[in-house]
Amino acid sequence: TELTAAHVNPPGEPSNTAFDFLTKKLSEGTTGITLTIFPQGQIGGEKDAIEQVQLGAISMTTVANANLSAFAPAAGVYDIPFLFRDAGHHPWAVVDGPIGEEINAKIEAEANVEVLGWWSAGMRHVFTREMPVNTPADLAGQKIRVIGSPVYIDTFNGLGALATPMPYGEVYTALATGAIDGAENDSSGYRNVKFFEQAPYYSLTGHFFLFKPVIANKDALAQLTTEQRAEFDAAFAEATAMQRELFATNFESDIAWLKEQGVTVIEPDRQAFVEMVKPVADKYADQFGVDLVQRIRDTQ
Amino acid sequence: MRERFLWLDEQLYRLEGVVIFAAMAVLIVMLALQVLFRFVLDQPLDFTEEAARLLFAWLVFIGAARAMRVSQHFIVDLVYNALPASPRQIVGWAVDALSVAFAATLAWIGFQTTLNGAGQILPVMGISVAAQTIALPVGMALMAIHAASFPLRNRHVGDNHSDEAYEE
Amino acid sequence: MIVYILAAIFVLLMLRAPIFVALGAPALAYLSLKGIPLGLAPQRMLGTVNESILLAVPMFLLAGRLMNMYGATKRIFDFAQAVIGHIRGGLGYVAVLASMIFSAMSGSAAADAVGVGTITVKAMRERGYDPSFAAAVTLGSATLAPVIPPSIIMIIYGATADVSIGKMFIGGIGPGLLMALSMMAMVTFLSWRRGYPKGNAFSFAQVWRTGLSAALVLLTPIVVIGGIFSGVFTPTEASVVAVVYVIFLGLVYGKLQFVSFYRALVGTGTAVGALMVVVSVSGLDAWVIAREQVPMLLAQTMTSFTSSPLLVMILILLLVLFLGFFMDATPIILMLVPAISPLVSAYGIDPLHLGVLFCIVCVIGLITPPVGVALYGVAMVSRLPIERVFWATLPFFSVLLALLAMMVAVPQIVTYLPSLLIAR
Ligand code: NA
Ligand code: NA
Repeated sequence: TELTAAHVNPPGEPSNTAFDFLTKKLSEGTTGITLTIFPQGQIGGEKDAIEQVQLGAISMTTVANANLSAFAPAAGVYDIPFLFRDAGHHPWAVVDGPIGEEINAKIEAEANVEVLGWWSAGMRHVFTREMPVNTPADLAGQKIRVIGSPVYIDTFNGLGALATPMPYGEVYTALATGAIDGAENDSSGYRNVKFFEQAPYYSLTGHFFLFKPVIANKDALAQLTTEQRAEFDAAFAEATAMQRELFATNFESDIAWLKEQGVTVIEPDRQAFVEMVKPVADKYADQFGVDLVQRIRDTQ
Repeated sequence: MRERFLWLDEQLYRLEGVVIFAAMAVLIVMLALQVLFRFVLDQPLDFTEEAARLLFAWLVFIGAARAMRVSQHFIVDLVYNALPASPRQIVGWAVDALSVAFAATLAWIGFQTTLNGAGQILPVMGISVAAQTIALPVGMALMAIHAASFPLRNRHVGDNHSDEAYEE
Repeated sequence: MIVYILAAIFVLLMLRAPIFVALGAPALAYLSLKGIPLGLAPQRMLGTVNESILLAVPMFLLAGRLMNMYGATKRIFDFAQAVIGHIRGGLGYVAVLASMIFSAMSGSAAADAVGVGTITVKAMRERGYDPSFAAAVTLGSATLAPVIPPSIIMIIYGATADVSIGKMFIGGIGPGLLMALSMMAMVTFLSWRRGYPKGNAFSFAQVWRTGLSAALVLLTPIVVIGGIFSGVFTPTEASVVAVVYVIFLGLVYGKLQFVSFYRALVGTGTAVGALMVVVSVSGLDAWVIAREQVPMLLAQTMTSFTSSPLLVMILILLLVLFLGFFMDATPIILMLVPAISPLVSAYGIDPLHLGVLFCIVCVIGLITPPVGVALYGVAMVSRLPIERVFWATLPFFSVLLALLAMMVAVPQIVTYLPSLLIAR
């Protein structure tokens, strides 16, 4: 049985490694599943990949949660700013627990896909061209490029910055010429797309924890026999553990490498940002249910 | 019947001109405002990028439909022109049929895909993505009508055709 | 399977099917034979043109058209004629120079081809030049746009292959200048061989008079390039600024009229539809080629022949050249780079050197049929048959290939400037 997977990540990025691992694991298995991978956006961007999973043109993909929430609004609850205390434990306690199951069920109904599990794209941080961001006041009036998603726009406007949606492909040049003053991304995006060459101040604000949900076409999985499905699930669980672990260790090594390149890494007082953006967090909590959001925050 | 169809073909062609003009004009104004608001007024607009892509889809597919009517699609006529008259006529009809079938198939599939995918939201504007994706089936349906009107005028898809808007 | 698809595309092209139909119908047949949902076709077609960076194409096309309409083209070429017209083939140099200036405003060969082509081909035709020569010079030098920074292709390559984008931008300057000089040398050669016209004798009074009349038009690139490099707008937004500026010129020259403006917009939109529907359908073909894992198989086969880094590099570039006939630059980068990046490190190839050359070869693919967006753009604006434009471009195409061989042999053409300017 042939399954296919698509993603936009370059070699060395944990999702890329995890999918390669899954391919190898399945080919060594005994139930005859093969997995063919189309990496680095070969078959389209993340939204294209979601549409192709829905159609059944490919079997599975992993995408940034912000992109999934355009198809399944219920996923958007995880994009509330400063929802998670840390990147190591809190997010996993939520998505692997009963709250996660509840939200998965909603996503599966809304987007007509199966949620296989939740991978990590780590915390997102701010980077700037000219001056370091130590406090929210340093963001005042700065044009910060964000993903074109309402919660991203509201969060940065809430922090006093001027949120500027712009296509990803133009961000590098815009940072070089000063059309924008900064942008936000996780450490591997900041490193891989060379934003650090033009914006050498990296401030660890951790304003969002970005999940990478792995979703699959329902029919593609339904064609697996019971034995095949059991083998797939076991291999996938291993790949998930590996992906999360890799992301955590990669963050450390990215930061060390970036410092060697002359990047100034700032550890600001995160609490000041949390307080400033509270009205935005509250607005989205109302939208997704204050109860649900409180239960996520209370998860230990 | 034939007269009615050609009348429809003509009216749709005029309508397409209006749609294309509107899409171009709004694109120019919107992108100019995008620069003005970000640089001069320090108030970046958040919806323009998304709206521009929506308009561009309409421009591409309605433009492609109109391009069929005025024979602006790219062709290679080296071999075709060298053919003797009767094989050329047959090839001409075959290409007419293929063009109609291709555009009509895409219109039909595109319509279904648009319906199935209508749940997806354009996040910033908060409207269904169908507002953008329906441009493909609409454009392809118009294109199929234009392609079908060629043989009804005793011509073939790709034969020269004048376009008043194209002349400078 | 993929061989049958390519054969079907070729046959349909020869039978005078519209090119987007020739590219699309075999792909649809592939999907239905493989049992892949047909809904993929509209998905890929829409997804491929769902890029705001592509907006530069209609805007620069419109700017060129309005410049013709408002007489701005005539002013600037009268001035060029006064300055350089006494030299044989003088306007050929002007066309290359115009492309160079345009390259700094735009990152896309298609935008350059249609933007510059709209004005140069008309102006040269009116001044007695062979239109296919005018088209060929324009098309050849349109390849400068993504080589001289800024460059969208280099951003995509740098991000995909993990190469410094800043270094690639600067690495493009040397090859870009060399390409421009060689284009001009080819203009000299062809003008002499074919006996192209010489204008009137040089006169300062004439230069002064035409220069004054063209002053506002000559400001266009200064406004646009200045705006990009001072961070006022992005290269994509620059295309709209150019349109607004040309409309302002129309106002100053007293030529603004609703009817002609309406027609210019409709005509531009129709041209954009014809051009972009090919790009859109080629996105579907790229999916099929990726699904069949063609680039990866080719890369593996080729490298099993040799162990020399130089030869591996040459083979990679030849592969890009081959794929460039059938595919747009972006899908080539996205598909091939993952397949070759292990080789690059294993053979110790300089990633910057390879990267810049890779991008240049991708750009050459934009001027070759059957998928060549710049070729179609120039054919459209010059109203010449595609094959005639392509044949006329062959001398420039050969110059580009010769230069490429030289740049493979002498890496410093690419790597010297970056090593000088960027310390880290
Ligand atoms: Na450029
Ligand atoms: Na080509």
